[in-house]
Amino acid sequence: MNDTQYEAELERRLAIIEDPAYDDPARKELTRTDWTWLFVGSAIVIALAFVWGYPA
Amino acid sequence: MSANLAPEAGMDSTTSELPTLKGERIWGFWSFTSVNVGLAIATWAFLGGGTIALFVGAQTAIAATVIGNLIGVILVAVTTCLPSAKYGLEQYTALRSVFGLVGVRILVLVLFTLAAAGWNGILAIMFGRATANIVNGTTGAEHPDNGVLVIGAAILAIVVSWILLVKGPVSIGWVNKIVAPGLAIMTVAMLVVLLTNNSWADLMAAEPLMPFESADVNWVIAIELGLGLGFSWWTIVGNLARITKTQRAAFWPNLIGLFLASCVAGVVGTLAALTLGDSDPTTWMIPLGGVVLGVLGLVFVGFANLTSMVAQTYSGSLAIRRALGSAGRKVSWPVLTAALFAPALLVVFFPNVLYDNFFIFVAYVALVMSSLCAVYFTDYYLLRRRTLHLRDMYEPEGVSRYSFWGGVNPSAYLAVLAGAVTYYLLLDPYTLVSAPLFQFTTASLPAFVVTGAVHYALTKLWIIPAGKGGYTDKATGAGAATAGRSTRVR
Repeated sequence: MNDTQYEAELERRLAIIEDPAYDDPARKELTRTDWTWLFVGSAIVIALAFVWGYPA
Repeated sequence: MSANLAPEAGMDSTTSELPTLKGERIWGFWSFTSVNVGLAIATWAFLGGGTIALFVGAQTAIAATVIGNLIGVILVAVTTCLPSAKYGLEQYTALRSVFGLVGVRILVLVLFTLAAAGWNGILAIMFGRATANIVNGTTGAEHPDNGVLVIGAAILAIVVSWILLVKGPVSIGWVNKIVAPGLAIMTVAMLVVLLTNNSWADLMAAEPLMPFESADVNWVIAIELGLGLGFSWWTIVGNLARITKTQRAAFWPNLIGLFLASCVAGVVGTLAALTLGDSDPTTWMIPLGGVVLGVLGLVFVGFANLTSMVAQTYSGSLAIRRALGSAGRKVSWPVLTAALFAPALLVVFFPNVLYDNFFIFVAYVALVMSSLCAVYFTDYYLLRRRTLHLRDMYEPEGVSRYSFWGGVNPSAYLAVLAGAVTYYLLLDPYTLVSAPLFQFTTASLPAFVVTGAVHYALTKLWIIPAGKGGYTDKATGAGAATAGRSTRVR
């Protein structure tokens, strides 16, 4: 792809993405539930691993 | 890395820095999970597990591997996968908002050159050691670990990898479909053999190979190595996530693949190293499987290393080509890939320096990656509140809202430097001599916090008041006004 083709393709893509009607599910952020699962789950795993594996 | 094996850059956003469109997002949860597992089950996971066995026994190693990898993978996935997935942005294009247009080019050139030298050198030496062990195991010869055969085979591995890459990386895409499941089967087989030949109690009682005197220091060094292995995914995983369909699909598979599968392979490596008394995976196969199965295993390890080298260098070459923009597209593919393979040719002449001291390499990786991860995390989540302006990512310096001084954001670089110094003060990566505080904090996590704090403070006190970087709407400048009419720089 030369520079001219690249510019045209980039502009085409940006125009599509900036269209108010463009709806991409990837724009939806992780939910509060996702973050809760992440924090609580990882805290439990780390705590269990620490208690089990910490050298006595 | 097999996922990146695709034809030369064309109009396809997956092989260029173009933003991804909705229709090009091909990976859902399970397909990205399989890519992640394929990435995680690689020969370096065995090497990482074997390295942790130098410092701690099995039970502590399993716990430290879990803790270190989990924290590292979560921080990397949150930092790189979510923005790349949300905006369909190539990771190093998105990093323009952090380091500036020129700043990110410098970063890519330095980072990928060093990473290629390190990882390709290590994988090539492992290929060489596997070759020497095959010859020794089948002929009774005694080629030394750092001898001519190892170095010669390592050089051959680099040359063959380069030829494969020049001939066409697509041709080995199908090979990866064999290598990844094959390594998974080998991992399970090794675990079965280890558990069959040793009781659980014996495995748990096995002594570490080369520990420090303090149990607490050994414990935290093992966690630190886990963190380093987790942070090491920073360079590639964001680019994979940009073709996932949702941010959930971009995030959660990392915990199955890069975390869980890596831990399994790493723990198998640790158990093998502890029971066989050697951290080098190429010495395990014949004692574990006998001559025939052991040689087959070594051939497979060598083959897997070749494909990893090709895939890794392919990703690095594309990243450099993207970062250099128009100039990068003018460099021929054979020359570009040869330049990226070349530094590893020096590394393989000293097999004991990197390969036998893999923990030093991982510690340096952690020193760099924890700070890079922190500066991106702070910029995207705390300073920009998860909002990027896509068009400005591609506008020229001075027009884009992401303009700084000469295309470089000094705040980001100073913050990374502060993080690296913090790491060094807590743990010298070369000697593993640590400060007293290290056994309570690790080195990567304080480096992460210091980097983030410095970048946040400098941006609030210096960059934003100077009207640089587009952190506020007031500083938007000409970017929006001239959108679509300016001459872009890439």
